[in-house]
Amino acid sequence: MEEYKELIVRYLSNNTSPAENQQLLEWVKYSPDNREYFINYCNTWNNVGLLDVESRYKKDVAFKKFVSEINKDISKKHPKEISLVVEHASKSSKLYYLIGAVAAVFIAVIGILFLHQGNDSLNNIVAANTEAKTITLDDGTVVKLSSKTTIEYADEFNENRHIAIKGKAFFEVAKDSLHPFVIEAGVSKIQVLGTSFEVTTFEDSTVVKVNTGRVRVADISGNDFVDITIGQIAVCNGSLNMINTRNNSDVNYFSKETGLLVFDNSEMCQVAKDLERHYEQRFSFEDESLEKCKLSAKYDNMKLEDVQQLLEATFGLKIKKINGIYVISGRGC
Amino acid sequence: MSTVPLQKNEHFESDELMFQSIYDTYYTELCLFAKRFVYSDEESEEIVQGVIVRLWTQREKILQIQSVRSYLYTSVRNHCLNYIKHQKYVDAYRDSARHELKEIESEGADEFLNFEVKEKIEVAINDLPERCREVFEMSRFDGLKYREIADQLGITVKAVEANISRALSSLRKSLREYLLVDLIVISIIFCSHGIGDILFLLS
Repeated sequence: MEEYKELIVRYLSNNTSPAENQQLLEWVKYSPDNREYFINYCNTWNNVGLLDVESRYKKDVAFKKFVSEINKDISKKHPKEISLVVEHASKSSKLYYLIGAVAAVFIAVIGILFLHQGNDSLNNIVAANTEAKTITLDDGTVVKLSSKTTIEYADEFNENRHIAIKGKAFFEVAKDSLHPFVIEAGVSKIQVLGTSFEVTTFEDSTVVKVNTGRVRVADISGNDFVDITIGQIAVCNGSLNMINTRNNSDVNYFSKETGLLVFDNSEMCQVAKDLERHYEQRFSFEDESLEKCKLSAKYDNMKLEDVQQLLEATFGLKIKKINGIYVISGRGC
Repeated sequence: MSTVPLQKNEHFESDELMFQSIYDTYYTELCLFAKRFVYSDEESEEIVQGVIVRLWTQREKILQIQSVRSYLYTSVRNHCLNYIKHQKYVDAYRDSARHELKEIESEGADEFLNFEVKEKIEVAINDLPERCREVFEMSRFDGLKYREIADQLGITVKAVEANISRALSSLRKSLREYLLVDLIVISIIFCSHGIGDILFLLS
């Protein structure tokens, strides 16, 4: 059964192919035990959904739709109210003409703007194909592009601060409270005044992680949005049509950008991972028991040698660089 | 079925208020319930909306329904099962196995959502190792694909898969007693009330 566990989990998380579904189905039908095992996992998966029920569905929107639905229903079913309905309709048809007229003008304007933009110059494209690259935009905003990431912006960037991104990048947006900085990122639109955060776009979703300040993440239509702040993550999922937020459990996620490493009763194996990422060096433990030692500390813009000395003093450890790897040894704690 | 002619008066106002409170109280939990049977959030919202609108057209009966909640759950369940059957027919050649699995999966669905388990689930999830919990939440709540989670966290797809599967096994173990007890209680409730409600409404 164990070997089918991963297949069941993949089915539940929507990561299976039709062939794998067929394979799973045959297994489930093979015996009542298999069937029960499968249903049991499904129940667990489904019940966990209770935790996020409030954020997921939009009852206010649904109720508004309901009201308009039943009003239609009344006008159809109850002839007595026809006079009322007709009056209503004539008012609204005037309104429709007006809306139509306004829309026509609007479309014309957009069309002209579009042509104008088209003539003006096609966007500047900055792409980092092989390795990370840092660029500074005209407004002072600094963007660190990961490999294979593209950003685009038009000549009017100086006036409107609009850009588009595909891939992964860290933004330090220059403060300008009059001109919001707007990023079109895959299935979402991000708007900030002056903050730092990371954006990653996928085909169907966009993930935003905030380092400082406040960031507004909206879906592409702009109908739905969330505001997130320091230490939070927003995930905008285009195919499920929803935006989720949660806390970033990795407190040192932005340590390279901020220079700050914080450990709060963290196990040494976690500390070593964070140090590896921060200093781009490899660490290993001579004795496994060391991995469980707990550390609380704050290293602000410190050199690796200084951190090394502090660690050695704290636990009575030895840290030596052997063949390019920092090896941690000692008695344990 | 005859409908009571509706006048534009305070009776209407209060009906609308009554339905507003139905939305406030039941909408989200019904959507989550429907999600156990169908594939997407959108489909479940559509089904729930349809069920409530239908209740509106027969609202003079609301006062006779013993439990609005139980009526709504039963209707949502029935609509969902019809929906899966329909999809199975429409989509027969594309991924029929998925529809059949979904049918088997929904056999195990509880009659109601049991909000008392919510706290236990919260505790159980917080007990997971940090990375394991993070990966699980990205899949379960954010709906990210394995590949996307792997890219985000800089780990392999295999590691993502292992973590989610570890998380779910551990949750299944820690929630076992609550979920099993539920199943028994629920089947008793269903036998004694559910069918009565349906017959009542059909009459």
